[in-house]
Amino acid sequence: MPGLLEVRRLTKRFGGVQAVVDVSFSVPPGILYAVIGPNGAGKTTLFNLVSGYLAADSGEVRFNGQSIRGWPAHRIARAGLARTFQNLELFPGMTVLENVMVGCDARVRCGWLDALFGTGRRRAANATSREEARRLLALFSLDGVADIPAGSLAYGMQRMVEIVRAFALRPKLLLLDEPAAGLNPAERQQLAAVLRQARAQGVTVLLVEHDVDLVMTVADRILVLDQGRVLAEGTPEEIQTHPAVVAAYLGEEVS
Amino acid sequence: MAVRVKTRRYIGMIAVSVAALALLAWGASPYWLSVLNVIGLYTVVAVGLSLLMGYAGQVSLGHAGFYGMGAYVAAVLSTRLGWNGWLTLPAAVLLTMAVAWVVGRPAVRLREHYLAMATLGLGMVFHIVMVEWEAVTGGSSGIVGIPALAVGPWTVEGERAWLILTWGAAAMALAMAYSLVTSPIGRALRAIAGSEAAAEALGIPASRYKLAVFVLSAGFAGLAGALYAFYVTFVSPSSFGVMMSIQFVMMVVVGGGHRLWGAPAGAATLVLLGEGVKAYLPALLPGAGGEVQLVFYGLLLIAILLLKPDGVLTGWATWRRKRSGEHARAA
Repeated sequence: MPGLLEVRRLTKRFGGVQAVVDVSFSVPPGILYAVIGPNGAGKTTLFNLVSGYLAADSGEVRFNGQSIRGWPAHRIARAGLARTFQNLELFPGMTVLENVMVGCDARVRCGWLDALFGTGRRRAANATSREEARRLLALFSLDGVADIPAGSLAYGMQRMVEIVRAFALRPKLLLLDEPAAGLNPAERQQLAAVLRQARAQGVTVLLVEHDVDLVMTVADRILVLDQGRVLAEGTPEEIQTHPAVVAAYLGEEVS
Repeated sequence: MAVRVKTRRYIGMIAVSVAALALLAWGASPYWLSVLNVIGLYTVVAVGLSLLMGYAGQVSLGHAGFYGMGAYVAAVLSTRLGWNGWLTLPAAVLLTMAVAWVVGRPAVRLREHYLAMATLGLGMVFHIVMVEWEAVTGGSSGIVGIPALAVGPWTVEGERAWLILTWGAAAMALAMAYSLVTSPIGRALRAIAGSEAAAEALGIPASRYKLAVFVLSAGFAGLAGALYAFYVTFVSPSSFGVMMSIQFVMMVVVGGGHRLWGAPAGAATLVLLGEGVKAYLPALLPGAGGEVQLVFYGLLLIAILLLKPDGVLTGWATWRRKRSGEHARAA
């Protein structure tokens, strides 16, 4: 069975630095797939290649049966591949509700002429997005902060909002770039709940994470990158006992 | 940054503005009526530019070029080709938008200040074309004798009649802009200004939207320019130089770009400041010529920006918030 996301021999160089080399993996639908590796292993580069923020030098990216390599980011997003950013990228002056509404807006119909002349379609689109955003915030227990400017929220809260906003696209695949970075233990538990909720809604998740412990508890499959290359791939149990991984990466983290 | 706008508040403000305008139209001298007309025309330009600056986060330093282009299209079509004046208005708008699209297309793909640089160059090119293409534009002496706009047997003449057109256009521009910024597309524009990367990740084609709002703002400037041509009945290149472009940008900055009411407020501030300096400075400072007036004008603008860095309406908005806050507590 083909994966929802298929990456074949993907390669990216920055000058002389090989950021991602010959990376291949397949994400089956319905699972939580994690990419781990030390700093500089190429995790975020891989992410940016898949989501259209960087152009690959060679290789192939297939999503939902289509080759998406070379597509602009907004087209990939509309095809059902949503992402978050390692450094928060909320719209700080907009409220939490409005941030999530921007995600919902991807699925409403309202052209420029509708918007300028205030047609009924504009009104209906606004109502649909508002209702959907409220429903999502309630689903993820964030309805208490709906009307607060996103920029004035606590850091951990902003991360949750960013995930919910990406979720508002109703993606088939959700790419999360180090969502646990900078979160305190309580916020991590909240994040785990958000991830569980996302999966309960049937979304496949691809997670880049630095925190190995978190990954081992939530991921179904794990890809280990080291210096831009695939070091190992498998279930958490396989990864924990993989000799190369233990030697290169887990050994020093655990000790 | 962008402010949530409340429909009820807007209806109230529109009612107050219409009443104030009607009162002024009834009582004001022709001089003040002409000042009001100019503010109305500049408001149309400033509304479009504030969509571009305050909502999409881009700057244009060439809007006087689009304003001038609208004016010249109206002037040339109505005098040389004998078009009906009203028909020249959509022609001016569409042609201006087409030129903006051609110029903006490469510029919006590039980040940051490329649009500002490209439009600055464009404004200069327009100015040179107006001066040099004498066969069509009349060179530096421009085009005179633009016929009045007419509705059947009635012609739109006199400052009072023009108030309906200039402020009608301003009201239309404000209404369209309000409808736009409170639509999914308005949210997308604010999203682009907040984080282009995140906007793209949510399926928003950022460069296409930036181009569209740039073209729209050029269309507003083209409309205002065409109306201006019929209002003053002559056009010449000196009205559409780079300084005028910078004044348009200043109107948006002084008014506060992320607030639609900032457009009329900024337009009024700049026009009244200019007129005030011209009228009162010679009395205070005998012998103060044009250059000294310009210096004072500049100093006053700097003072306004230092005191109200977020636009002249800032204090008013805070006062409203405070008042409604107390209201809420009392209830």
